[in-house]
Amino acid sequence: MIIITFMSVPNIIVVAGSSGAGKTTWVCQQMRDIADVEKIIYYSPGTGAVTVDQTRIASKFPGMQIFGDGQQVEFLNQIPKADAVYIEWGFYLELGSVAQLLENLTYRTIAVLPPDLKDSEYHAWAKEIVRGAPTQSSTGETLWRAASNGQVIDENSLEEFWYEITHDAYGIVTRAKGIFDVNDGRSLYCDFVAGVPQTDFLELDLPRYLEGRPQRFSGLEVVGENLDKATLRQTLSDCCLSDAAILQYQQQVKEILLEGEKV
Amino acid sequence: MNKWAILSGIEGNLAAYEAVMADIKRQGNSVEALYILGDLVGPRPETEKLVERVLNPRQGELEPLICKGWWEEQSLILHGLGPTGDAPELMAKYGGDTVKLLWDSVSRQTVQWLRNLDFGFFELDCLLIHGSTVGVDDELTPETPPIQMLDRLSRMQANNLFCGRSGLTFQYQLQTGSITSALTTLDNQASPQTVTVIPRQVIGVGNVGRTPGQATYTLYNPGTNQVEFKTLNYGISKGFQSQHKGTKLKFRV
Amino acid sequence: MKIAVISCIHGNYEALDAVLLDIDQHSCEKIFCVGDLVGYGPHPNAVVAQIRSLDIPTCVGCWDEDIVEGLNACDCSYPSLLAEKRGIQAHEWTNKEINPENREFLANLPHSLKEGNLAFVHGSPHSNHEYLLPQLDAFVALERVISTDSDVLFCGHTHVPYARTLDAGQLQISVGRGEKAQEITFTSPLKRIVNVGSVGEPRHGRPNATYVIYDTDTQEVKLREIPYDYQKTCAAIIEKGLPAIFAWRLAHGLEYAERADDPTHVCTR
Repeated sequence: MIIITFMSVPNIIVVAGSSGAGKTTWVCQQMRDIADVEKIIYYSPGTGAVTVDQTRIASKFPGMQIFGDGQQVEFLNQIPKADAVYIEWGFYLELGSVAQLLENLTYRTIAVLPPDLKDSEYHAWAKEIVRGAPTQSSTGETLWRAASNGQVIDENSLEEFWYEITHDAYGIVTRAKGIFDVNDGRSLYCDFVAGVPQTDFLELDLPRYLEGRPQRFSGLEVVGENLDKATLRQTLSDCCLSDAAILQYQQQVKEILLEGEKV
Repeated sequence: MNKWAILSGIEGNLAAYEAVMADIKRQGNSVEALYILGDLVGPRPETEKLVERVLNPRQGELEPLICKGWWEEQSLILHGLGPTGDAPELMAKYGGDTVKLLWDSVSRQTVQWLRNLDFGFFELDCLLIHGSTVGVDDELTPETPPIQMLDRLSRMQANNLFCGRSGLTFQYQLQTGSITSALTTLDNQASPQTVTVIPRQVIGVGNVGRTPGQATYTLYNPGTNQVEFKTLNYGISKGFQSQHKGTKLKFRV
Repeated sequence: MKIAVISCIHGNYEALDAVLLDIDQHSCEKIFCVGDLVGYGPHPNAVVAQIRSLDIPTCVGCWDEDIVEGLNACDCSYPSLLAEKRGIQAHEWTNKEINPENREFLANLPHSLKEGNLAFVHGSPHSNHEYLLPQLDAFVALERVISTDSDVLFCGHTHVPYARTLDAGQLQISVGRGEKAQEITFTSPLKRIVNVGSVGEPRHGRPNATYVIYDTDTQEVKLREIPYDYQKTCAAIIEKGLPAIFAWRLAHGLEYAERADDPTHVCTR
């Protein structure tokens, strides 16, 4: 008797595109449609310690396996066990390196691009083009990142700081994204793309952190020209609450939640 | 259960407090809350006994909600716990003997308790406070200019302000009013707008202990907005014995 | 007679210079200042010297008081921790920069000024930390004017100018003391509150200086907005070591740190 077993080949999708065009958003939309029935894994290399996209996806799809820098081998090992594999290729990575990573594997190449971008390296590389946000990128841009794990940011200060960042107080900023733990234990996602209407901060679907300094990712990534990195760093630091203040806010929230439960 | 009993100015007068509590008891179930708007303590030797009595309500008595008053602030100042170092008002109004009496009448332990009292209460649309949100020494009386009364009400956006600094019972009702305001800014000249006043009032809740033999306090029905001032005569000189000789045994003084 | 009323110069000498020139061009006979000569800006000594040399009647502002007595801004003034830190930096810088003579001058400023039926205060008649915002309850605004026993109350502190008339104010009162109630009618003639904006730290979204010209004969109020070379002030802010963000905020007509958000909050510091 011959037994034939089918090993399903995972659907591998590599998503690249210019900064702020909407790669992560598109990936989330795709995942939403299949997350219930398929096992998905996600990999976004090159973000260093500032894992904004990974944290955003993890909060939307708890339990999903998510990989970042330093986890390439582990990721490659998990590919055969997955139904769908999403790889987000940041604008700061060489498109040519994709082939090296996925040697001997079959994958789809997708580029999420602004509508008026024509004849770019993405067009040559991608099989499919997805229409993204109308961003304008330029040459001469630099990237600045800061992780703030363990810090609690004063929410009013964050609003002020974010306004300054997105209105060019620290350089001509084309893209900024961050995740922050704030006074009342919530984790907020902040997103800015120059030329695209601003959105409010989004509360991530994560539990409130009310037991001292948070043990989860928070941090900021800014892309732009003439970035005043030193002042950005200092101002972010100025927005952080002291131990005493953290304790006080967390106490207050616990009391309010307790009263709410009694009602 | 629909009325609030609101007291002020007990000033350590235990007999007066007992008379009021007895009168409240006579109201039966209709009183659902008891407020003491400051001046619980005073320069009277039995102040400590009064504090103990207030903090240990008898069976059937309500737990009083107490806020700070002028005498409380003077006590805190004397014990070095006030916002300022000295008590010039106290000296000027009452003199050195009273300062000493206050010092002797209020224990350090009581002062520590006074320290943690609220400044006032806000319930439904009512502000219950000793003076006003300006301070414990802000004395509102029937002579206070209307515009000032309205300001004190507006500071907390209250429709009813119950206060006790003056020691008087009064009902100061702002019934109607209007004003026309026009605003010009750098970029805009708005047309005049007339705003009207919603009816509001300031109520002096009287004083329980200032005048020996006579206590006044207030009953308020938040449902009907009705205010009732109660005046009680009490004390050994006005005992029932002198009036009801035949039924002496029925009454205990 | 035309008078000019200025406020909240905050060490911005370039702005003050431009405003004084405009005042001169409008033939104003008198100038009054409602305080906050120093704080946040790069030239506190030059500003005080100028005010002194022109003998401009001035009442003390909350920042002037802070420099004399030590920082005492109300928590409610700072909308965030970040703003509070920036305010403290500005205070420490100004405290080091101000010379003893000018500090003494600030210490001797009166709390308010009166000229005929005109009154001048920094914040409000009750407190230098109270913001008299344009949306303040009309009767509360009326109380503020009446409490100064004047017809026109000039104030600053909010850094956004406005002129408000309060007319035909009337109240019907009934006062009862247990016996028959007494009916009282209160009426008020036309009163005005005029906020004169800010010369040196504008908060109306543009970097221009603002101040007010008042004609005592016609009772006309003119809100003046004066452009000037604010880049010079920006350069001085950076050169003198004040937080660089102040330069950006000045260029955008935003507050450097303090902001009045809540018209119903009554600060009584």
